[in-house]
Amino acid sequence: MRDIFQDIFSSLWQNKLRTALTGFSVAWGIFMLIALLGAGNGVFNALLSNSGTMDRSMVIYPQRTGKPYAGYEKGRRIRLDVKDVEFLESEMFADHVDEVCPVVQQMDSLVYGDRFMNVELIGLTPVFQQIQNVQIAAGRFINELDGRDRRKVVVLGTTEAEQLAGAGNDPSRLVGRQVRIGSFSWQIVGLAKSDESMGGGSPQLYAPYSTVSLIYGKDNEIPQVFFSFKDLDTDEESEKFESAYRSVVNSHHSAAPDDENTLYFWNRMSSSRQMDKVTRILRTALWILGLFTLISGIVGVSNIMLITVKERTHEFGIRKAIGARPASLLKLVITEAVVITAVFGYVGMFLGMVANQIMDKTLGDAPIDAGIVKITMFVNPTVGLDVAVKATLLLIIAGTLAGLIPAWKASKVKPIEALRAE
Amino acid sequence: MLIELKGVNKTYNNGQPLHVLKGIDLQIDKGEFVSIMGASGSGKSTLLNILGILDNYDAGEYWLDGTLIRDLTETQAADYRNRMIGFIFQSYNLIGFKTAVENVELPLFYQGVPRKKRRQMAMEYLDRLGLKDWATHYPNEMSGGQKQRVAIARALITRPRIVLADEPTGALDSKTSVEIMELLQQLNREDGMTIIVVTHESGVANATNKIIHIKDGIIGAVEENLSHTSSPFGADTIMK
Repeated sequence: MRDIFQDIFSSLWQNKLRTALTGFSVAWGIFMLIALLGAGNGVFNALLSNSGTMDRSMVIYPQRTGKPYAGYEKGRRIRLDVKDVEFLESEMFADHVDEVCPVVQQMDSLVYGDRFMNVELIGLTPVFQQIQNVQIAAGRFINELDGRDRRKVVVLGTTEAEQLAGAGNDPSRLVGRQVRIGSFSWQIVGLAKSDESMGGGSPQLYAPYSTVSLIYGKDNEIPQVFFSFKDLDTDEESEKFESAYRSVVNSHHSAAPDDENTLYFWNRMSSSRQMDKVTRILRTALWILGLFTLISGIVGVSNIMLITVKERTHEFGIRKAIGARPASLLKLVITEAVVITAVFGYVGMFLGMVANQIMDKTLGDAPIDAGIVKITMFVNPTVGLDVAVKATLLLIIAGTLAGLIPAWKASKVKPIEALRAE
Repeated sequence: MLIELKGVNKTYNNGQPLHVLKGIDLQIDKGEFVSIMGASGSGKSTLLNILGILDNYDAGEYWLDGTLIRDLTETQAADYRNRMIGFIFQSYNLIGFKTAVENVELPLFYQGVPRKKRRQMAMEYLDRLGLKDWATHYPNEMSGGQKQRVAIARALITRPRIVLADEPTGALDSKTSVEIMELLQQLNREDGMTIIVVTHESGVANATNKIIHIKDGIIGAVEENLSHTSSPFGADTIMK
């Protein structure tokens, strides 16, 4: 093998410019592949990190009826009430429903010292934290006891906390303080990291469901019900569960038993499955794009190798005359093609990874402010070791393909004709 | 008999069929130093190509050291060439990007001889031919005579049954030509190497022990030339 490499090295060294140009096309192909995949990974990672909610959860949104029933017109608004929540928590659905979190909302005004702001009170139960992936910055989240005792406690977003605390003050010192919301005094028990990807609207304050519901009389007006579930692994199972619950709600609200418009279920698991699918398709598309770029490089190598073989016809004739088997010439030329592709491919791969690192340093984790929402476009835009291994294999295969036709030509050289050449 | 040809025929079919060899019968014994002489177009190069298993023939038989050389695959032909035949060409045919010693050891590489052994043997042969100091030189750094001696070393390194020389002095001046022919004579005398030289120069033929004349694809006269008086270098010719 060492002899073959020496052979190849000296023949490549003879044609430095040609080798460099050929190498460049391969290096460029791999560079593009790696850079594309890295950028793609950055976008996907960002998408994933922007959501981060619990997979095994659903949100139920009541809608309007889709057909007239029992004397009611079509298009009547359905309002979920405590009873509907109890259905969900009952034995009927115990096989699938884990924890339920009805959510109620009420706009009101908040006063703290000389500061004032309009806020939206969100009444919820503790499981909301896991389902929505709420990050606590200070203090604690709403807990079971808060709900049971209907305590007037709130969890503030960090952005609002900074506004209330005023410039230069540590917002976490607000924990334990009292604020006035509407006509009652509430205690701040914790600070939650504000979710900037949600954007818009009034500042949101988290409070116990039972308290908000009691104070503002929201028991018959629940706009969303969150819940975590188990054993609903396929879309079919989910649909079965959804229609079962929907028919219970329908009969409670005097809607047609088969009316499918009354409730909308947002199943995070199936959306994340769809997301995975989209990610896979995009990734495949990136691979294909990169591969097409690489193919031009391979064709370049093949082309150059053909010229090389033509130029070296005489030499191959000599080799054959002194006893080179066709197979050994085949091996020589293919190895040469593989060496060119592999060496320059690695250079390209290295540069591609450098480019990924540069992307990471400049764009990585930097949020893009799109007015009402802030989105991180790039998170860790790099490729993993698996891609490097795949790319290596790809290079070797590519090199072999590039060398195949020229090598076949070389092995078919007739020694007498070759010796006559020159 | 080392080489035995019986009724060998060869026709080239490039548009107009060209009947080059019209029934060659030839016997060459081990240790002979033979020249095949003929004008251009007489078929001597074709004969040499067939003897060297570089080309095939249409009819007849070619026995080399008891083996019938016919219908060989490319790989078999390559192996026979490698082990049985050493080639010396008019234009040396050394590989330009390899040094003298690398050129010499190349046939051993195709035999799968280990690197160190190969290098050592190649150096021995270069030493014998007085080129030890030139081992690491490239062909374009050497004179014609030196290049031909490298080529001879390459031909000898596999200890072949026969050495085939195609116009070995064709590109050399007369002084070097004499040196090269003397070298071949010495190889024949001291090592008992069977050598076949193809030439159209009577001076070259005269250095050999037996001259086989070929004309229009048929063997003509076979001259014994042990006295080397048939036609010395430079005599009766315009060239050399």
